Amino acid sequence: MTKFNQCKLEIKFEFGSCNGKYFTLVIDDNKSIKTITHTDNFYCTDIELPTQVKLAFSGKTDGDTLMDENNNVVEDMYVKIDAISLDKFPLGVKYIHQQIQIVTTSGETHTTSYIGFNGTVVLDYSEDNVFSQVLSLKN
Amino acid sequence: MKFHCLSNPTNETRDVVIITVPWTDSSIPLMAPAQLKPIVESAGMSCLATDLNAEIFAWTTTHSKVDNLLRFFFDEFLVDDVKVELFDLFKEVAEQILSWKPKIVGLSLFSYVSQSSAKWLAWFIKKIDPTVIIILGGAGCLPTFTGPSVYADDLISVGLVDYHIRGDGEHALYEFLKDNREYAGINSLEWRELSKDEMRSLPMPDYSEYYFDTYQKKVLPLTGSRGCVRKCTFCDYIANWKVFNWRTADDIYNEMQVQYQTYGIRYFKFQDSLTNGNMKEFVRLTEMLSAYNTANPDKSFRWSGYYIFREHNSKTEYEWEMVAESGADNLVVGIENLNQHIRYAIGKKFSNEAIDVHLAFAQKHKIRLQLLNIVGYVNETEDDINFIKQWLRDHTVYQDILHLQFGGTLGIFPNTWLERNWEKLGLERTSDSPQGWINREIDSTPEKRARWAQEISKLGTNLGYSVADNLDNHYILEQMINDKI
Repeated sequence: MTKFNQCKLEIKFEFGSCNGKYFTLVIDDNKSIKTITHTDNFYCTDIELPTQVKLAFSGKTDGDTLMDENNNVVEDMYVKIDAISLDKFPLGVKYIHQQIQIVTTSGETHTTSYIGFNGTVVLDYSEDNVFSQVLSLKN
Repeated sequence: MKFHCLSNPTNETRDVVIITVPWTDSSIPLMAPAQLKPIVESAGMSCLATDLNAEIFAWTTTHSKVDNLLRFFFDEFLVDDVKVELFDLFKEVAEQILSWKPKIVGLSLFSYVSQSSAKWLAWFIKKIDPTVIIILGGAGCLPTFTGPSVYADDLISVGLVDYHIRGDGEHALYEFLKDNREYAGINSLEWRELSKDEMRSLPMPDYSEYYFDTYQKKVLPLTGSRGCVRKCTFCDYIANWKVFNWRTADDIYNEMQVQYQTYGIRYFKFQDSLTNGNMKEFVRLTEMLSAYNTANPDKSFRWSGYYIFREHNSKTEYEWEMVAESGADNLVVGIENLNQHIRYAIGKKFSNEAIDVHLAFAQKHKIRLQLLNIVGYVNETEDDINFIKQWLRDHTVYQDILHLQFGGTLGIFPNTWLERNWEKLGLERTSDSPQGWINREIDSTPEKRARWAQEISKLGTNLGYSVADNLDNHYILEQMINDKI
């Protein structure tokens, strides 16, 4: 299948700090490992479908979420996945908000694109071509 | 999956490939590639120009999963049981196009339903050969006749498409091929309308790479004019084509004869917004065709197209005789409203008496008429709707020739007279939809107008008229009634 399974994966993140600290984010695309920081919050890599891309979030401690007397969060250390695209085709807000799951270091699973726990997100792109992959996640 | 219109068994090459992009529901050829092929050749380049849509349309409509295929073409929704076939379709089209080794690929979009296919086809082509230049054109790139094309701009910004040519494309494409890429209409909002002389000197469309066995009807499209002689208040077409330009009767007649000699097809469908804008040329054309048809009864010409009613006069009877003898088969008339005072407000100044005269002549000559109506004009009231209902009861004698369309009620579009006079007319917007407006003075609301359209359509059907039953209009009317517009 000439090239139709190859594409550029791009992810844009937003980092939020608490106590001046940010999450450590390491992305493994099975070919290379890259660290994403709050000053360089854009990830771009060439992938071949089907594949899985692992996002490992770490560095948050109990003190990195500040609450007021009413238990409202006033400051939080987080990473938000703002946008994901394959070959510039955006995967859409429904995918971002309803299909991304983090498995925390304590073994819990949360469906969210707002990452406030240490853990791992696996982006599972199981189709064998970009056309089917983009549209299956868009629908 | 191989496409006959793109097959290249002897590995020929073409500088430019121009195709129609699916999906358009058309039983006759889409003419843009044929129109542009001689333009490309006049710039010194070779060109393959073909109607890919026709083959894909035929394939789709006989497919057991037609509804799932249409979900992709209309809404870019991929249903699992057709995803492999759609992938194969785009892959094959891209590979077959590139088998001609073109430097440039032109994608012609007839309507917005071509947008998903054009986007993905561009991706497949660029994936195989990123050096190929892709140009988009056609009304399908635009949400309305005027204003920017967000769709084309987006594809250009991400590198899927290189250029967008809008408006009259013949001169812009020619200039593009001559490396004048700053010309009006190329990646620009502004474009230049062809002058009358330019239009008359355009080469004839070249259908030599169209496969006529693909079509349900053996019909050739033909353009006799651009623009319109009327300035209707609701129309945004005239915001783009500001001048009415027409070809001479001799020129059109010559094209019909040459195309018949070339392709053996004697039925022509005019693509103009009106065939009888210039009555002098129109009558001359009908006279030439009448003379030919009388002399050649076994190979006579037939034609159809848009037609305007005018106030009747002493020449009307003769004009209808010529229309009939020239081979007119089906005329589409934008009558807009059966109330005379509303037609006058719209800018169509012919009387109800004139309508009766035209209907009688059309019936006498057995010419079918499609009457296009707009329900719920800005000054239309319940009394006017009752008048239309009575008109339908009183004119059942014309059922054998009439086909009625009542549409999705009046939509107010950008750059129309109605939009410019919004406040003066006392209208208020209720939503972004073209149908989303109210006139408090006469209590005209989207919900009420939708009910009027449904009532009139139902009455027309019950009285025995042929009434258009379009899914898209149903959708709009239901939205209006359910207060979603």
